[in-house]
Amino acid sequence: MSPPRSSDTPSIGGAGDDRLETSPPRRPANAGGDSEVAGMVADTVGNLMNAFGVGAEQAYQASLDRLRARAPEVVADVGTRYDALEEDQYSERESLIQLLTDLRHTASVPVLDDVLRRPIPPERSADPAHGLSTVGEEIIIRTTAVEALARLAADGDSGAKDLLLAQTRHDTFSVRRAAVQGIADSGDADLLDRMRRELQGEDARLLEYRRIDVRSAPQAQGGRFLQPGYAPPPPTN
Amino acid sequence: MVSCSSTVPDKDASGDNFYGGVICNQTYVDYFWNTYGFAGNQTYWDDGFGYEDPCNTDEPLARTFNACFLLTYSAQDYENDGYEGKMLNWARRYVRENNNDLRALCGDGTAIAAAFAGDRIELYQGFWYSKDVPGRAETLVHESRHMGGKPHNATFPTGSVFGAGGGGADSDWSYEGAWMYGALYLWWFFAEGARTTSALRERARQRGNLVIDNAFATHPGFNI
Repeated sequence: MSPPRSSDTPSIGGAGDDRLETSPPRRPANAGGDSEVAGMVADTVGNLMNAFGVGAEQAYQASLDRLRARAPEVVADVGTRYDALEEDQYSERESLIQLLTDLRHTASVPVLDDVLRRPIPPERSADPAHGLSTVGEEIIIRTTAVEALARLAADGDSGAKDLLLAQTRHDTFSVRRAAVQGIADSGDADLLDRMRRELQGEDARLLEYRRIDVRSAPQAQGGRFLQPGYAPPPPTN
Repeated sequence: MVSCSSTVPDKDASGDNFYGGVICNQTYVDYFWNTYGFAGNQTYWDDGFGYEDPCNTDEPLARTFNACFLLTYSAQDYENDGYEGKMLNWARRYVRENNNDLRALCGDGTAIAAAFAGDRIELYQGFWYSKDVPGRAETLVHESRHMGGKPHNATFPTGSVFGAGGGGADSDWSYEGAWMYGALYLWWFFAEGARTTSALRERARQRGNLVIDNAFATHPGFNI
């Protein structure tokens, strides 16, 4: 166990005396308007997708079933919402693309195409190694879109297959990697053969990078490494 | 005194609204405060950082508690945290055993966290306002690995989003550094995270793959 430090005695010298002010939470864009479909999308993304609890997944899946019944309208609403978001609303943008991934409907392909065609903005962080890499967030949005295409390709959607194949030539390594793995896992022999013919040079190694189950991955050791006995230095006069 | 300000992002997308509805319970507040290195650090967690309002998920303390909740309760059998088992189970134990001094500071506005090996972990604005709840749990695991004396030992590979050629990478997966610990935790959360949705687990997968693709000098040759 860690050595106890139960006292909350204020530190001498005012250490840790930073002060933070927060502005009110940014509200999700209501770009979808007040239609019934817009309300369904807002409820799914806002209340069900990232929920917690024993019934959270069931509620999310039930909502997806309702959305699939009106998929073309839903996809149009998602596209409108996505366009209305600011560049730095990474989580919100990712949530919308995740919704398309889980919706698994062919109507999503043009929206996914649009997302993947957009250039990745330059890095906004001065130190992405210790802060948030904005390019990293943009890549996550795009690899999520690739996952959406991979699921549709596995369902036999020809448009998704072509678009997925095109991502194997994307400028960004992670997007290419995700596309290659999506095709490799799709079970589509023809698509896999087309990809093998197109992969050139360095990118041919991507065929060797496989998605594996976490139970097959080398595991961490765990354990307690912190040396016991740490205590704050005694106060000085 | 350093003063700073933050705009709170949409709390639905980050997961804070949902976990925040659970952590507002004195039992959890006491447990997290006394278990994960907050105790003794009131001066770091007041003045807008949440000490006076631990249920307010606009403020850092509750947003950190949300990560602590996810870290503690995401395994189906969360009471079993033996190191011989899955990391999803023992990550909470790892964090509590390798982190006894968790502080809240402004940072430079974008910085996420820093570990001072054997001494303390500092959390900054980027931790609370740019990472979602699973991402914050990953950071606690990552920094706790540093606390145990495991520094980064390599430079980021060509094309890395974290800054190609710069320091801060791990040489490879087998080094078992902080990046490996963080990615492995996200991987287990994706595979077996309980009491959450497949969408949130998928987000953990995408984030874990970003780490695998960019944070090792030598790519491990597998992905999530």
